Amino acid sequence: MIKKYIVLLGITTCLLSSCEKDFLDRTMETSYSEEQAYNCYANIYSSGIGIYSYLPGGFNRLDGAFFAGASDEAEHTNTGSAIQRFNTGGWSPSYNPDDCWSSYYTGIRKATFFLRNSTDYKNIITNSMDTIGSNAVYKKNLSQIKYMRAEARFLRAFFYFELIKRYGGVPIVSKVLSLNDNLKLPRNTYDSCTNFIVSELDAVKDSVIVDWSSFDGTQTGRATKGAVLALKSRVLLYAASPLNNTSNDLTKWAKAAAAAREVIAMNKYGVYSNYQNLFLASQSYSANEVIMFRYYGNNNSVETACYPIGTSGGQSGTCPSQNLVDAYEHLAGWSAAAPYDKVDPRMQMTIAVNNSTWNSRTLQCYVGGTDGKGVTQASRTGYYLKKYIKDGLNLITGNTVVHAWIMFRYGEILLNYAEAMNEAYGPTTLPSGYTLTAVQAVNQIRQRTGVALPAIATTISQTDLREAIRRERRVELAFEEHRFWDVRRWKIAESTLGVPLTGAEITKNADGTFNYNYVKVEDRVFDSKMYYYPIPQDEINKNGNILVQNTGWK
Amino acid sequence: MIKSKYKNSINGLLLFCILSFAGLTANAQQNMQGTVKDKDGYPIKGVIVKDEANNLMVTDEKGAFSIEAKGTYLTVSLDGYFVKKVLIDSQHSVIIKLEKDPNQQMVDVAYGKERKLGLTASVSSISGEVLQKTPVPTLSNALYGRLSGLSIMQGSGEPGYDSPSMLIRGKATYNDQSFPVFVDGFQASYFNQLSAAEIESVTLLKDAAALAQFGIRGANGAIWVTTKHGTAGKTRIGFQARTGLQAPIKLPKFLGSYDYATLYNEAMKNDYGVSNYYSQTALDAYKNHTNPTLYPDVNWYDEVVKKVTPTQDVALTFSGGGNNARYFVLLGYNHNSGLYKNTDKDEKVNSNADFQRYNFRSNVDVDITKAVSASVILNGILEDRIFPNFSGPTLWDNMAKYPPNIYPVKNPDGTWGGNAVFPDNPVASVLAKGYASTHDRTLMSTFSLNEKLDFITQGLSFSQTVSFSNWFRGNYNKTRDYARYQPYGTNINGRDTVLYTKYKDNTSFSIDEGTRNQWNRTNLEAALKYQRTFGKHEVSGLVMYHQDTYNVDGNNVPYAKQGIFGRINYGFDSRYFAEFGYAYNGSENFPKGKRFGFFPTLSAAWVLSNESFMKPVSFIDFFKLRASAGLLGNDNIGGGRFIYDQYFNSAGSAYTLGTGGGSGVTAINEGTLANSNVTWEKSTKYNVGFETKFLKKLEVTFDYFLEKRSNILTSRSGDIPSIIGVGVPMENIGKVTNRGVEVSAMFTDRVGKFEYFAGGSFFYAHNKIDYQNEVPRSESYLYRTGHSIGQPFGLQAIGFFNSQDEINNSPKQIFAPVQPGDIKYKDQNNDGVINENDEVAIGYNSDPEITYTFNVGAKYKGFDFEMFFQGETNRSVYLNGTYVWALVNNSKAVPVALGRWTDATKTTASYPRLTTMTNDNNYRRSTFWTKDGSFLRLRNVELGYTLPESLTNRLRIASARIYINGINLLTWDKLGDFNLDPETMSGYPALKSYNIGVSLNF
Repeated sequence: MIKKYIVLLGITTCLLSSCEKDFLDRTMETSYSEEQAYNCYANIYSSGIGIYSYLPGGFNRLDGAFFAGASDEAEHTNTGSAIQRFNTGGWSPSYNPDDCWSSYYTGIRKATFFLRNSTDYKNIITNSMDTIGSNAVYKKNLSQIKYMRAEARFLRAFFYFELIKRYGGVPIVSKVLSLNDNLKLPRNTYDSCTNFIVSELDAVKDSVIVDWSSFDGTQTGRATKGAVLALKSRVLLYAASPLNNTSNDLTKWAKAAAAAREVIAMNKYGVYSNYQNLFLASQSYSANEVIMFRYYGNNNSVETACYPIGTSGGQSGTCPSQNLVDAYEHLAGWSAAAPYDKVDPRMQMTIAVNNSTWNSRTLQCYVGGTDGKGVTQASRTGYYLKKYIKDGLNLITGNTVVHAWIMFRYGEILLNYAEAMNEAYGPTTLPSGYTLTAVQAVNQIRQRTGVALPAIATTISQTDLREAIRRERRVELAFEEHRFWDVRRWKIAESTLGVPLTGAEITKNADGTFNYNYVKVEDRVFDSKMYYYPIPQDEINKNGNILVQNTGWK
Repeated sequence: MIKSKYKNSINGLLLFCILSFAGLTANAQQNMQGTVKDKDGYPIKGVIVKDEANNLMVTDEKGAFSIEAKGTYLTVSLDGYFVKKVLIDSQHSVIIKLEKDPNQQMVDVAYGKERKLGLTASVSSISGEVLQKTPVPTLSNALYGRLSGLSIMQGSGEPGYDSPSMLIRGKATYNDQSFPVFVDGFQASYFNQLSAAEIESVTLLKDAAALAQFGIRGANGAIWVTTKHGTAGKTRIGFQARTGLQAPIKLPKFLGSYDYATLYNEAMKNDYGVSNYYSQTALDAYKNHTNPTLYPDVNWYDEVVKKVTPTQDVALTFSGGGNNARYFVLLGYNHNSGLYKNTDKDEKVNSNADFQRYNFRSNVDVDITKAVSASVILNGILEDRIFPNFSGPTLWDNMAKYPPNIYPVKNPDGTWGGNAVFPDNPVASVLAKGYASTHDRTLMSTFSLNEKLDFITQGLSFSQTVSFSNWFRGNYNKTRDYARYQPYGTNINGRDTVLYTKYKDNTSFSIDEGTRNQWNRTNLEAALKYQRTFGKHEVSGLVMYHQDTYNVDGNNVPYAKQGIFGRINYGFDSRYFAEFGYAYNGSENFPKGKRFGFFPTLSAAWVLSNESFMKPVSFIDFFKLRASAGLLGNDNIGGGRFIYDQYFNSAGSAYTLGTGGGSGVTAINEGTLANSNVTWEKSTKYNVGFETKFLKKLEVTFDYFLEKRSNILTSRSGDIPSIIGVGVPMENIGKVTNRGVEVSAMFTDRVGKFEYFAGGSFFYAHNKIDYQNEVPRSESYLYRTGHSIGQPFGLQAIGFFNSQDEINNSPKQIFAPVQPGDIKYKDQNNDGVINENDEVAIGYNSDPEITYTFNVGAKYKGFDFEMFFQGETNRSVYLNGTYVWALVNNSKAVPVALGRWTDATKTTASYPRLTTMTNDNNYRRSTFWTKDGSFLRLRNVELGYTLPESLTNRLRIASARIYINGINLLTWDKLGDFNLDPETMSGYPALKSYNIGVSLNF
């Protein structure tokens, strides 16, 4: 008996001691170590592509609203959306619905980390190949990573620009920071940030690809030379603008003009022949006007959000304002009784108006109509958005369509060029080597096939052209996330964002005609401190006195 | 070991008898016969029956004895029971009922039992019988107020999803406060689904001494549950059945269409200056209900919710056994049905929410030889849940949100009302979308072998246990969608016509049974135990090895724990007791070489009432002082697993490239920075207390506790600027102090045949954050550090703005444009601006700091009655969202909104001006929406009747009792007109119930 127990005890002890050795040794098998994340072509590629996910998108990006809802272009129908905070003035260092500080610095680190860890990519790719496969594949892989390293610097420059347009000058981080580094960095000036961004863009402009489709069509959507130069154009335009160029240094305008000219000189891009279709389906990523886009594939979330309330499944979404409608040029024969006829054709390509055909029916934006006041969650402005939106998608059956958000297009470059040229040299003056005047550049936009507005005369004064270009930007680039920033850099936001937003209250007469009454939809708040975003209060507090808050924010 | 204990208590009793009866003269010898039974009427074997001349008899299996007795009284005693004196009467055979003596009782402690007298730890415990008094499907809901030190936060009443959240002695960490529940010695997440009839006791382990054996996972406390085992003797059959009706404790109330539209018009005027948003025609139609298609007035609650819904519970138990084997077997069934109206009884096209559970258990103990015994526990639980194919919480929120006039439930043509803004018609959500169901199986099996090693040394034994448990869930969903139609009126050729806008299509049923979920748990244990008495010295000890592997589906790395732990106890003369508890254990979540920690505790008790100097103090029957101190850990630290390793994680579809179809590209992203020194939370616990009994009637227990928690995993983001561009590491830097008191008292007495009792308890816990790496704040009062965990912060409301002048002359409130009728706030820092920097600590958080109970009960001639009240105070509730904020985010209007501010009612207004907007000025956390969340509930009231023995004997049953019972029947709270339940403020409501039941023992 006793023996039996001793045996039993012995067995148990062995069992336990054998278990014990590695019993608690467990590791996550679904993750990589730092070395593994960069140990072969596929992993280096994956580590690099992650940087792209920090690029801004555009569709309904802020709490269900287009960012246009924070400017005088539109009003978002859902009063509870965080975007309304910009309009009510309810944002502060402690609460900013569009706060991007930490997210762009994350993107910046990712790019720097990638550049550091992929330095030796040639050897890594060579050594990690099991067998010598196709030489072509090997060479292609090397090129892929070479391009991606240049793109990483472009993306990092892009993130810095997104930061400075919001916050003004920000700290420039030159390496992958660790906890032991000095993390309390002061702000660089706006100009030094611009210089850094431009130097990075110049450094990589000839190392990125010119066109993906000839190299690898599946990679279309990654940065190209056009994108690098387009960003440079935008960056220098912002740097030359009144907000950031208080002394009106004309050489800054000249640089901006030169940068836009670089894109034009590529002779790769043009003005697409159909303004409305440019923002739809395949044109939004393949038209010759598109320089860079963010691709979203098939979905119907934009349509679901923005179809008129009277369309099955529609929720009104971000609705264009009367302020924007009023900005479109009236053509000869316009009358207040039929306000939507005889206007700049781009108006009805951008905005769905009362009594027009949209979604295969006639819109009833009048009081008591299926899309008008009296229906819960109907548009508060009397208009609905048409730009970007596929007509007649059947939401009941869940139909979808391809969407792509255009980040840079040739139309913007022409307007950047016109604005910079006009400021630097005047409406029609051409410095040596230049072939396109400011007026000519604007007219290319105005005379797009299907738009065909009268050309601006070459006799126009610099001041009048300035106004004309501003108006042109406003309508041409409506809903493309320019207006919110343009009125800031022009320093005119008090009179554009600080005035009431208006809409059309339309009544239907017994004879089927309509009365148009323009009413205030909402009081808007704009303070001079809002030219720049406040730096998040937590970041200020964490930095002691080293990071200085923007003027007026407390 | 049993022998020695037995002897000890006999000695004590002997002494007691001699003292009590000294001086009595012995009578002549008489023959006396009788039977000893327990309170359920079952015979008790082994009871010692003794006369005044120390003649001694022991009862047999039928509880019978026969003795040639001398003297006036017989003394009847058994270890663990109150001693009973019986007048010697040779004429009749007597039935003697013994009742358990809690002081002689053995209590459950971690991995063992200890005599209550010598217990040095702070525990509270209730028996399965008390649990059965609160008939609820989910066991935790029977614990309200029953275990002093346990806070239970009632949640939803949805069948199958009604588990409350619980805290032991408040919060001592701002991370994971959850604690383990052990059933028969093994961690068990299925505790809530056990049947009350299979539970022997539930013990709450509170202080360091009680928790010492858990070491690295003991800091948050633990619940220790034991199930019933058989005792040798005649087979006992128990049958319990009850049925009841449940109803919501409280349903929110909302205004009808007319009032809603009137208020909406007012709000639109406030917001946009729009008048008559709803025309007079519409208002009249709402008021007179003349056109329910175009002008509906739907009370969604009336359309969806039943008044009452049934619940049933049945348990059948068998127990008994012979000298070599004993068994306890249970079969249980529980059914709980939901509150949805008009559902398909056959569950073909839709279904009410419904929960059914089947429990079975077989606990078998076998003596293989004199020295070796084995025990086998098999426990199975089947849970079948079925519910509408729509999220329960969302459905209830929709009922609270959807205005009464959006569309009719059904249009005149029989189609469902609906549109894109209010897409989910609440009635159709239940009736038209099919159903989903889940089927769970839990199986737990434990096998253990115990060997007495007396051949090595007297009192030594060894045991080994292996336990497997697993849970599996499958599903069967039969779902479809439905077309919604929004009616609208139009004029066609001069005739008013109703047309419809369609939203979505009808689809046919689709079946899904593809979801699987499971976990498996494997435990191995081996223990060496020692227990022996040397004269006045009692010594015992335990050394135990334990390992636990827990594998959860979808997570390929099992959780693992391993350790050695135990205790050493010493007792002297039933007066002085000391215990050293220890654990050396580790968890897989920490870096190699830093996985194991040593956790010692020390505790002592002094039974003053057993001191000779206390004997003259006759009114004190019992008095014990206790104290404990020790170190424990918490390895459930939060912050993800294996954070000592720097990981790079794969993220699918990080960015879409290409054209045409396009493809989401997978990225590899740098994870949060690693912390190579990560370790467990450290908890130093202190406890002092006493247990006492006065005048044989009043028992009082008191405990004071203090806990210092450190090493709380905390993000360094409070002082690391975001420009680092990566998640900053979590480090063990947080600190919290938690302290409190527990008092409980019970008074029992009898007047003739009328027995009564009254008891009460009080529990207070308060914690304070000592350090949490908070971001630097602009004002000193903004710091969360120094306050309790979860302390709410908000603005201090000081009334409404009554005029534009007042607004112009007040500090600027920046959250939204301010109008007269908006809430006015105090400028705490006098900077002329009201912003986030003016938020101060307001009220308490929603877990109570104070829980108290009182209960009264009585017994008279077979009748018994008990009322149990439980209350909570020092808690606040934040009223917000659909249930309170009228018209915001397209929601409907609550009656309190009728008290809104208008120019005419400015002196009496109790609610801010109406608005349809998410007004960030009015609708934010402030003292205005923070209310006292105190309440007192009548948790339980029960009236029972036990059939007289004369009748039950004739029916050949041991005992029979019938009862009626009510749960949560009355509540007193401070929410007034807001008309919300103070505990379950949104979603599926908490329930009250009326039950009738029977309990039979054969």
